[in-house]
This record gives sequence, C-alpha cells and structure tokens, in this order.
Amino acid sequence: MIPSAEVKEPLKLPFLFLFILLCVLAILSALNLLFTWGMYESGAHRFAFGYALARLPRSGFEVMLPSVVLSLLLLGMRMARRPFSRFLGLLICLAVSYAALVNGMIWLRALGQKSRPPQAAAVQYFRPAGFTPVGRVLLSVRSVEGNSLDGVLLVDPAQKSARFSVFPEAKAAFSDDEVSVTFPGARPLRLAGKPGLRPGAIFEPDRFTALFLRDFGVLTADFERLLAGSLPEFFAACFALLFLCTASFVFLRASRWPLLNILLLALAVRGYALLWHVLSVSLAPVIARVVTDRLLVRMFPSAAMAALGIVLLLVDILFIPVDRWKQVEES
Amino acid sequence: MNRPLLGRISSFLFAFAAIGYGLFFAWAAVRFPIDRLLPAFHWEFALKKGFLLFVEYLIPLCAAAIAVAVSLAGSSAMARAAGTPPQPFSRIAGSTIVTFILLAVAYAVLAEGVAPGVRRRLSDMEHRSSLAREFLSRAEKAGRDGDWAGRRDALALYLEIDKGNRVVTAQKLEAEAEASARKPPAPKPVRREEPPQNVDAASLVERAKYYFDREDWFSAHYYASRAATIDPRRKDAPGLAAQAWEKITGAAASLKDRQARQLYQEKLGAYTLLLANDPVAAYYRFLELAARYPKDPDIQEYLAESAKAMKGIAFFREEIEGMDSLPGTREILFINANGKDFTEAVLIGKMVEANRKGTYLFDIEAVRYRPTGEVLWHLSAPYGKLEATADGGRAILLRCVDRGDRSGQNGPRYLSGSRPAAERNMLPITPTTEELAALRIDGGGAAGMGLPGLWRLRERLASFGMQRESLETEIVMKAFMPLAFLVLAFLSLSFGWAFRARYLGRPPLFAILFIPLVPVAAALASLLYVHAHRIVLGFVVLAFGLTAALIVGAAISLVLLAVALALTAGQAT
Repeated sequence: MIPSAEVKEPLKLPFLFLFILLCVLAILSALNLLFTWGMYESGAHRFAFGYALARLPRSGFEVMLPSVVLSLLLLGMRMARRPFSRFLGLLICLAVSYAALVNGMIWLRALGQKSRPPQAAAVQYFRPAGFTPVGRVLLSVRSVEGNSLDGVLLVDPAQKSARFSVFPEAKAAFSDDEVSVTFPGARPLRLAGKPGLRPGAIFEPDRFTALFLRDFGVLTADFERLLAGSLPEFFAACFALLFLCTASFVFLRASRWPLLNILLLALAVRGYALLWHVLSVSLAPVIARVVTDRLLVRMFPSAAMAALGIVLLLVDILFIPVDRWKQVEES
Repeated sequence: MNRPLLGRISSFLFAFAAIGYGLFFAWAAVRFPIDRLLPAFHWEFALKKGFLLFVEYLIPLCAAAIAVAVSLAGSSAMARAAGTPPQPFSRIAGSTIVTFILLAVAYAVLAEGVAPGVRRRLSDMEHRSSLAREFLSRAEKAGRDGDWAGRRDALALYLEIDKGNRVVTAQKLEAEAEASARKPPAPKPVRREEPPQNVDAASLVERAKYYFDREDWFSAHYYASRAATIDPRRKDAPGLAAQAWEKITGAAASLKDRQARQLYQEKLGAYTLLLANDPVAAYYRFLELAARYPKDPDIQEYLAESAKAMKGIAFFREEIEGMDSLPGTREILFINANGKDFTEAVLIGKMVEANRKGTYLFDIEAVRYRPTGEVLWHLSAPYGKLEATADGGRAILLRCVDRGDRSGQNGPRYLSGSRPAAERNMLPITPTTEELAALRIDGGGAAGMGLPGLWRLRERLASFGMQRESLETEIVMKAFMPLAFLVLAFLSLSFGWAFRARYLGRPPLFAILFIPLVPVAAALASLLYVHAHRIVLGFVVLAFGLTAALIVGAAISLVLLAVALALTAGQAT
C-alpha cells in the first residue's frame, strides 16, 4: 500500500507552485514598478495609482522569468523537506512551470504593450543647482525644460586649467545606456557618456547584484525577442531553460545535508543565467562565425541549456541512488 | 553529547570571520594596485582593503556561519542520551538571540565607526603615492639639469612619504653631497618676530599718546588711526592722529640732510601704503628699506606691522611648503552661491587640514555666471588658505606672498571678468571644513561619512549641489543595515535548523569541501535582500521624502524581524 503522504504531496505540488509563483511575482513586480518609476519617471511626474496600474503588466512581464525560476527553487526547498519520486517531481515541476512561464510571458506581454514604455527625459537627470556626471565631466544646469538645458556649467576635472566652461543652453538626448549633450554655438560641442545619473546613485546595486540583474535582464530580453519573432523558438527556449532547472533538482539529492543541496541548486541556477549571458552576448560573434545556420545561431543558448539538462538527468539516473531521499528521511 | 548551540555558532562565526578576513587580506595583497600605490604601502593596503571587504561582506559571512553551524548542530542533537526529551528549539536558541543583537551592534560600530576612517586612509594613501611619484620625477628632472639642491629637496619630500626607502635615501645622500660640494651652504633665514596682536582701542590711544610725547610721530599716528578704526565713537583718537600727521608732514621739511630727507620720504611713502590698506605693497617697501637701513627702528617696527596687517589679505608661502605632501581631501566641487541673478561654483584640487597652522587649499578655480550663461568672473589660483572672516563666515585667501622676495607672489588669475580690488584676493565660501571634506566629486567624501555626520549635514550638503535624494537614501540604508543584519541572522538560524544535516556523526569530506560555497550562496541571497531594501527605500525617499522612508524602513524591518523570529520560534525540536 502506498503511504498517503506520498500521494498527497505530488497532488499538492502544482497548486503550491502556483501559490509561490503568485507571491514571488507580486513582490518582484512591485519592486520592478518602484524601480522603474524612481529610475525613469520620478522627475517627470508624481507616483500615482493610475501609473502603477498601467505599468504593472509590463513589470510583471519583466520579472516573469526570474519569478518562475525562483518559484522552482522554493519548490525545490519544499521537495527537499518532503521528498517523493524524483521523476514524478521533475515532470510535475516541468509541466507546471512551463505552462506558467509560456502563458505568463505571452499574456503579460500583450497586456504590457498598452502601457507607455518609460522615456528618459532631461528633467529626470538634470536637477537645477546640482551636479550630474556625464561620462568623465559634470554638468550643472540653472533650469530644465523638456530636453533643453539653460545656464549650463560644464566641469572637466581632468583639465589642467580652466576646468569650468559656461554655456547659455544645451540639448540633451538619451539612448539605452548613454546620455549625450550638445552645446550649440560657433564651435558646437557634443558630450556623450555613460550616465552616472541621479536616480542611478539611489538604486545603484553592488557589483554582484548588478551582474545578477544583468544576466537575468539578458535572459528576459532574449526570450522577449524570441516571443516577438517566432513562437516555436520561444516555446523551445522556455522548455530548454525549465528542463535544465528541473533537472538540476539532482543537486537536492547530492548529499544528506539539505542546506548544502539547496544552496548548490541556487548557485547552479545563478550559473545558468551567467552561462546564457556568455553564450548569447560574449560568445555570440564566435558562434555566428562557426555556425552558419541562422536558426541554430538563435537557438544555440537554448540547445546548450537542454544538453546540460540531459547531462544532469543522466547523472541523476546513473549516479544518485534511487533511495537517497528515503535514506535522508529515515535518518 | 550535544554542544550548546551558542558555543557551536560562536566557533563557526569566529572561524568564518577569521577565514573570511584572511581571504580578503590575501585578495587585497594579490590585487595590490601597483600603478596607483607605492610598494611601501603594500601590506598596509592589504590590511585596510581586506578589512573594508570584510565589513562589506560581513552580513553574508555571518549568515553563512550561522546557517552552517545550526544545520550541522542537528546531527549531534540526535545523538542525545536515550530517554532524554528533546528541548524546544526556542529554548536552545534563547541565548543565541541575545548574541545576535550584540553582533548587530558590533556590526554597526564596525560599519559606521571604523570603516569610514579606514576608507579615508586608503584614499590618502593613493594621493600620497601619486605625490611621491611626482616628487621622484621632479628629482629625476633636477638631476638631469644638474640642480643637485633641487634634487635633494625633491627626494627629501619623497622620503617624507616613503620613509624607509633605502634606494631613495642613498640617492638623497648623494644629492646632498653633490649640492654641498658645488655650492656653499646658504645662511638660514632669520625669522622675524611677529608683533603682538589684539589690542583694544583704549590701550592703542594710550600707546599713541606715549609715542606722541616722545615725538615718535609715525607710531603715534599709526596707533591713533588704529584706535579710531577699532572704535569710531572715540573722539580723542582722530584728533591725536591728525596732530601726529601734521607733525609727520611738517618734519620732512625741517630735515636739512638730503639723505635723511629722502629716507624720511621713503618711510612716509611706505607708511602711506600701509594706511591705504595695501599692506602687501607696504611690506615689500619696508622690506627694501630694511635691507638698506637695517638699524632704523621705525622700519623694523612697520615691517612687522605690515606683516601683521597682511593677515586676512594674504599668507606667506613658507606656510604651504611641504603641505602638498600631506594627506588631504581631493577634488572638491560645490555650488558656493545660487542666487536669482547668478550662480557661483568652486572647484578645489586638494585641501589639507594642518590643525595648528590652518587649512590650506591647492589648485582653486571659481566661476560666477548669470542664468543666461554670461560669465561675471572666472578665476583660478594655485594656493589658498581658509580664514575665518569678521562676520563669522569663511573665505579663501588667494594671495600667497614670499617673505623675502617680491617676485615670489602668487595671486588669483582672472580668466575672464574681474572683481573690485578689495575683493580680488579673497573668495568668501559657504561650506565649513567638515562640509568641504564631504563634497568630493567622486562622492567618496559623503560615502565615507558615518551616519551621524551624514544626518547632521544632509540639508547643507544638498544646498552645495549634492544629490539630496541619494544622500537621504544612503542615510536610510545605513540606519537599517544593522536591522538587516539581525533579520538575516534569524532567517539563517531558522533556515539552517529547518535544513539540518541528516548525518549521524561528522559530515563526510565531500560535504566539508563544499562548505566554502555556502557563503557564496549566502552572499547572493543577502545582497539581493539588501538591494530590494534599497529599491523600496529609494522609492519612498523619491516619492514621499526622508521621514516617510524612515517610517517605512522601520515598519518593514519590524515586520521582517517578526517573521524571522516567528520562523525561528516555530522550528521543530
């Protein structure tokens, strides 16, 4: 006779996953919303409920992928405490998380497209009577209107002498990660640089968190590109990533020390985001040279994830004792 | 036997802290920035940088130590004597909770009390290294030009920074020998005694009368004029001054000897300069006269008086000699005044606070401009001295004079526009010395400040051009970091207990080998936790201000602390 606990736990698991996902999604969406307003919109308008409502789907979309992965991790913790059949666990986790990720990203993207994307404006970065770093120089303005800056003081600390220059006006323009300021006149001057800007100083993460956010940002952006380009490719990428994450539950049975197992799983998942970044950004030109097929180039990171997942699954089957969890429970 | 939980946690905390600091020290020693620092600073840098990294990552280190200690405690707990009932976890963890609170206080002291000073010292080290290299290149150039005295002096300045450098010491001895062989030693400059200061109007009038009675008309006029300036209500002082002036002008005509008449006229000319509020010109005129007539008591007296009158207008070059090799604050930038009609900005290359001598500034630049972009004036000066003004404010004296050489003067250079003659050599500034130290361009000044200083100066620093919101976010973050430490410590305790090891004895080697990964994972989680705090508190600062952020921060911390405590208390026995 099968013990009742072993039957109940797999049945509970999908609902538990959805509950965890909703909680995680709510927290991460709220954080994303606060960050986006503070970083891009706080200078232009006050925080309002209407803004939050309009922005929420987009925020939800941007944190959907890390939310699903984090929920899987948390579910893994639960499974470490109340273990049952590993393959059943893998199948349930994979199916539920896949359905959640695919649907979540599709629907939230559709809803999020209605909200206006955050637009950088000069008032967000240049506050009168303050200094704003732009690349290696600093600017102080008397007043800001739209993207026009008036009474601009330029400070170039690297100069040997005459480190101050004053301009009656200037125009600011913003791109993804750069701000450029053009000073009209007989000899027009253009400055461009990474904005060490005002909200940046408030929300600036430490270097490790910055790398973490960068990697998950790349992952989400790549998934969004695949979703916009081709649904089958998007489905495949989602499957590959989640397959790898669920196959990584092998770490939960790596030893009889659950704390170590869980932390190993967390580090592995962190490593996958880094691996995706390496394959998708750092090694992309090399891959594009070696692999001639464009579909293969696009899907290379997903294929690598799936391959790694298969390796982990084989390790689980071949090297991890079937009754490891039973041993843990009994001990 | 089950070791008490606190003992186990303490030994793990100590081990993790010791190993962590050792690793950070080794990392700092290996990654020593040889291009920015002198090799002499290698171990000091490693100690201090290692300490800063240790404080930065103290939260994950402690969290990892607690989680590992508690999770491994489970295995020995199972080996308790048969028949003994298990103790409730809350009882096991009772004293541990008190220890965590003490640890949080210790963390606050380290992060807010000790670390800012260490950070400043590292910054000084970097600056002094760049200066030392500059002295070395100056010495090399002097050596190439055959200027052995110059080489000796530059090497001496280098050795003030890198005292134990044997190679440079030998080079300096060699330069000294060469310099003394080529040139006889110059006589040591004789310091002239400064005249007494701070005399009230009544005693000045008494002194004027004293000199008047002895027919020393210059002294009588000088002291009577000063008394009249100090106390304009006195009616006797102007009268006495007028009488003395009459005698002075009359005395020139009565002199029959041509040479005596010429000396008298020259003294009168220099004296007139002193009266006309140009003490620097008067000083040099009296200096020339003193060289020609060293025994003339009037000249000696008014030389001293003009040197005294120069205080508040200029300062002597000898005061700043050697100052640039001292540690100080670099690259200070601030809005000095922001009126309706103009804005004034000041940039200072370096500030050195020499407690007894005063505060000296190097490489000063200031500009005043209209909202339309029109520059009213723009000046630069190589040296400056911070002085208190009569109205209780502060001003930078921009004129630096040589005690014995008129040509050795440095004053402000006006790159465009100008200011009235009386104001040209002085720049009134708003920030205090403490505030100046916080106004570094790279933000290191404010970041290196402790919470009390940041709290006290926040309004003023914002008025000088610093970003108010980032200052306020920094304040809130600094205030809640000890609470974050406490919350993470409790969460680690419950997490470690919930996932304790299922080994009956000591964990196998495989598990022990993987323990170093625990702090890495703990760092990942705790840094994300702190960043989430930063987002929420930064948002509240931007949307609702500092007070709201403090309230929200306190509320979040209390809720999380309550959750962490509930999780701890709710753990199984």
